[in-house]
Amino acid sequence: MEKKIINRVLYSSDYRLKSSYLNVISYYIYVIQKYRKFMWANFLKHFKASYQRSFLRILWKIILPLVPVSVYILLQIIGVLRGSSEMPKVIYVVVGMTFWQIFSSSMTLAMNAPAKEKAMLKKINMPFILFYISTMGDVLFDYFIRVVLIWGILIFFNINISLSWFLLPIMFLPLMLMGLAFGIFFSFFSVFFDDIRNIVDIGVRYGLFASGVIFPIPIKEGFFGILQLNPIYILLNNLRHFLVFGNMESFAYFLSTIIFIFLFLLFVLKKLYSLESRMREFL
Amino acid sequence: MSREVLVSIRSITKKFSKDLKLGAKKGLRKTLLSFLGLNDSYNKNLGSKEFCALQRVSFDVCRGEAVGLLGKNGAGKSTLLKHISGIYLPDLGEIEVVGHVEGLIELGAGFHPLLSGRDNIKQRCSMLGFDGEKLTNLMDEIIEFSELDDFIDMPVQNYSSGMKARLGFASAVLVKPDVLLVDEALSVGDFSFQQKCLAKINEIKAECAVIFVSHGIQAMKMFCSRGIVFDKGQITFDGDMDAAADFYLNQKSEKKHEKKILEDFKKEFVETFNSHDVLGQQVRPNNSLKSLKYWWSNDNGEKKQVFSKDDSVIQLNIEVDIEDITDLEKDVFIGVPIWKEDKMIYLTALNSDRKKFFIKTSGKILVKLKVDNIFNHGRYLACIAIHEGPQYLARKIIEPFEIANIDVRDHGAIRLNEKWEVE
Repeated sequence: MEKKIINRVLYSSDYRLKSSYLNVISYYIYVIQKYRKFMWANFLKHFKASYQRSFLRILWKIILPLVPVSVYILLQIIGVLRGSSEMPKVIYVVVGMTFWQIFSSSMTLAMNAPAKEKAMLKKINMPFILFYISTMGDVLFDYFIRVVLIWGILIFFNINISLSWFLLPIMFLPLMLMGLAFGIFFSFFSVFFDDIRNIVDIGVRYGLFASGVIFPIPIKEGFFGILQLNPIYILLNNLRHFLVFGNMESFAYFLSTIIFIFLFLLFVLKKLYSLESRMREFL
Repeated sequence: MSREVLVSIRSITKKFSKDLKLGAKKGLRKTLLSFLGLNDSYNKNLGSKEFCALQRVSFDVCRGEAVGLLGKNGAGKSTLLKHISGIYLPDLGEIEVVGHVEGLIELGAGFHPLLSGRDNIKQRCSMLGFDGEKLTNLMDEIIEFSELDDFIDMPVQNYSSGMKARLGFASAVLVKPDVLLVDEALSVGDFSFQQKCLAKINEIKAECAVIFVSHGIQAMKMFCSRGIVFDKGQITFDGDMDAAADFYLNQKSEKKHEKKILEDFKKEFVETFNSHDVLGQQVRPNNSLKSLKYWWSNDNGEKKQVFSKDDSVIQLNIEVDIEDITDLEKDVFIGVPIWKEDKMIYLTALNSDRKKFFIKTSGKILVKLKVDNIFNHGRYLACIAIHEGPQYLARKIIEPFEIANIDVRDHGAIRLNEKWEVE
């Protein structure tokens, strides 16, 4: 006869508050492993559902990113976009927007994940992390479509092929993890008041210009100098530079930012572990 | 019976805020404090807009035990189930749960409306770790039990509530949970499926712990061995199911404000029951009916709404005033359907059927409907429908009546005089 593994859980108001970082990480590894199929199914569920009533279905995923790229190329042809002699402006903007999209979409989708899944979270005791992670599937799918586009543009502008081209498919990772960490962090508050969503939305719009996505940050002193410490700018600028020229502008800054992301994500996951049941009450 | 405790609830208390904004503010405060590494101490006193959903609730449920939770709406039964399934955490006290918990807490909870029934089952089972051949076999079993073969590939959004209940029940029960929580989830299915579900619960209850919440006391008495009565978040009775039902029903009828309870019952009944089912077609605009008065009484004419075993007849007195009966094209008669709280129709007293009389005179007349008191314990709702042929002149849900102080050990809907003979 098959032996059944019996779980024993003790629920109390603070049963998760005193857990160590190690316990929290092992728990998340366990649930991600256990529910990997669920996360995949949940991603597919939303993915399929979003095109359920569409004739062109998945083709929209390819058509929509093409639109801004064609606009940037047009703007460059008519001389509105002017890049440096080193990097064509179209590449600057398209790569910048792609990386920015990774961060902003990860953050927004993660922040909204609990509210989006509230029908399930209010009635079934499922770990929140599954829903945060499954929303990342959409971000990744979008990214991989854009990766192909970027390769096409790099070839179109006669950029020399380097190793960095082949690393492009994994360059999303730091930006996505940072977006995920910020998204989870903001979701702690957005479940209580919707205002947080709007504030974050405003932040995302300003952030686009404060992160060197479309225009470089020109002044390196005073207030604008602070922007050089913007972790998104550091990641985005270094990754873009690495992709086109095969090296980073400032590896030390890049590494420090990666360490910051890792620590912030750990902190946020620990908080999520202890706060998710309270969040559930207010969904 | 095995004495392995699967659910142990130890003195749990839970407060909620009646005001959404105030509750959110407090939640936000707690979250911010937790970021500072501080704990918000529990305040034993209730705030102005707070209420205690559960107060010092303690009990254990063992494997092989089926426990029925009784109590009026808002007593804390569903909140307790949410605590057991880990959805909510108690403010004070603790809950220990052993094994896999499945909850039939809300119809269609966890199903994605755009996915088919098959995809939803697959998702749910894969969530529980089933894959390969095991998953295929389990899915076949669920589809067979739910009897949804022809509709299993249709999106769940097109399912009726009964179909959702079938799918929900089959996918919760057939994964063999250790703890099964059932909260009114079966009340929407058709009768034969309800019976099938109850039989299935009976079959699996030896292997798991079942906690059942329903307003259908008869169903609970059928398969729960133990009953726990809740009132305002507190346990007021814990013991044998029959005694618990007895306690619950007597507790309700002992209350002074019987009229208020019956009014609430009427309101709740009309709100939860599809009004079209209760009322049928719309009333035809007609001013022929000048007035309609009614009251319940016993056969001595004594006005009352709460009847006991001693009242052999329940009488509904209807005073109708029709302006000019000759203006009406078709025969006028009265119908009085009577429902019990389980929404089952018990009687459709229709005087034309029995060919006793039609209303033939204009002006005020008093019509008396006398029904033998064979009803069992409970609350009953009636509707007066003044017909003109197949259409209505008037139709009104009237004040309900209650049958109290009947021995609740009498199972079944009605009490008939039975005779036993031995040869």
